[in-house]
Amino acid sequence: MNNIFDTKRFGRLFIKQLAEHYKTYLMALSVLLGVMLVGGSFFVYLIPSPLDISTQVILFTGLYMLAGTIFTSTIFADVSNRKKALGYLTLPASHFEKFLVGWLFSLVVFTVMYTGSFYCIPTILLNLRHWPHQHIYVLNVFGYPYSSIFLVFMLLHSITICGSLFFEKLHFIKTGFSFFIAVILLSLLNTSLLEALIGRDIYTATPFSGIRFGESGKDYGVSASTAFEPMVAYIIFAVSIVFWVAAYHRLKEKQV
Amino acid sequence: MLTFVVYYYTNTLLNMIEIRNLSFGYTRKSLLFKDLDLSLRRGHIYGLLGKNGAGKSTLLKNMIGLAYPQAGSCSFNGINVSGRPVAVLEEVYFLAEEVFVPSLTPEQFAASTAAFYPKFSNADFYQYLKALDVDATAAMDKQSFGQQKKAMIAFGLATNTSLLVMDEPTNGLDIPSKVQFRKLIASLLTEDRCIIISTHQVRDLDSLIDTLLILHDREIVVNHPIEEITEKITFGVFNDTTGMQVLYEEDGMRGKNAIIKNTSGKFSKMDLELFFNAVTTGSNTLIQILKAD
Repeated sequence: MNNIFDTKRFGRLFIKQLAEHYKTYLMALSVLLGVMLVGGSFFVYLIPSPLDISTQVILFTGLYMLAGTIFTSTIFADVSNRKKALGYLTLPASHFEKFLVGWLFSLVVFTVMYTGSFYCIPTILLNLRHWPHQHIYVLNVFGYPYSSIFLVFMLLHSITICGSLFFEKLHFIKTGFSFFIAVILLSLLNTSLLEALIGRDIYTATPFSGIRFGESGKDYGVSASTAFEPMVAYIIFAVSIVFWVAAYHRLKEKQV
Repeated sequence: MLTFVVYYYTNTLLNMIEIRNLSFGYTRKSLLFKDLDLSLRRGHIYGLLGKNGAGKSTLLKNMIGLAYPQAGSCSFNGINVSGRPVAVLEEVYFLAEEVFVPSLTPEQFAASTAAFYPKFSNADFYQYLKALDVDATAAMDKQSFGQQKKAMIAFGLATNTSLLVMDEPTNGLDIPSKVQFRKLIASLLTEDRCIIISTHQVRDLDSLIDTLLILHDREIVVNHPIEEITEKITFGVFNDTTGMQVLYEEDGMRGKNAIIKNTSGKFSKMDLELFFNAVTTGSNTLIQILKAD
């Protein structure tokens, strides 16, 4: 018997998760569609021109990050509930299979459902209204440079899934609080390191961003060339993996 | 050497649960158990008793890997339960005191969960549901706590796992259901199966358990078959106990409920409640008599 991964067992676990939570998932999807419909109607019918690409990027990213992290923070909520955790942890499936099911639902299934919904609602709304002499542009999130939104979500997902297993309650709020504190501390550290490295004062710089400084009353910015973008992507991916591994080990160590 | 090998293999074959030098506490400073040893054999129904806060539920959780010991080990059929390996989980069913049921009917729950237990029997499941008077087609989360618990008991029994661990299984059950529960448990025991029942309601265990475990002051003070206990001590109600070898007594409605040393060789019906009180109030003579061969 394989104590780590068995395809049949994993399939059963996936179906069990769906059977026991599909009502909640459908309700969550309805809320998401409702938010998109109400928000989208507001933009489409109150603004004289069709939504431009930048607005679509902001809407897609903002809602994706917010809804995705809220959903992810609930995916392992059962483990924090003593009554539910007993059944969940004693169910004959490995921790890896349990983690993978949660990971798939909160990252892959959510992303597919969200992206599908996002393309459905704005496309329908934009086509319902007549825009004389104006072109309708629909954001292609799979093309460069917008596909990096998925990468950023991957990082946020890994942090949120970690928080959902490390914190016992108020997962989303506590994870968000810890995240922003960490960002502030890392930015201060990063700024000090960069100042020591280049030997001058700079404006606060978050990790992996460019640097900005003022000289003779003017502001200057220096950023890495686009050749370094893949490296940043690899680093984000690597950091995400570290958080996923930490979350998996936390699940393994869970006690009731 | 041969004696050692025979002893080792006999124990390995008979013992299902082996706890060695277990130390556990929710904080490092105050340990609930310290260097606790316990072996539980297949083919027995164990009744685990202990005062509130003695650590009965915690001990059960340690046995099945829901809590990890700070020192020592718990193994099931020779496999360490820490880390909850699937090989262990497939052979263990734990019924918690407070059950959680999803928003499914018992038959939907069995359809989504039974396949995880290799020895699950659908026929047994429906038979147990019927015996416990549970509707297989009614959503469990809409039922009363007692009905929810009975549905989970039926599922647990139908898993046919070698180890069945139940924490206060009769809490919330009505009188007819308690009777059915006792009948079902009694009919389930096979020589390959081990059942552990932890409860405060000692009367629910009457005539059901064959071995008694009492957890007191961070250790297992009693781990004896009922037959062996009644062979060594006698329970009775007496008007006057003067001149008797009384090990423990309590004033009752009909006289003195007493435990005396069994010198006649006759068996009496065990009064679990009286025995538990005697052990937990520190009757050292009683413990020594039980420990003596």
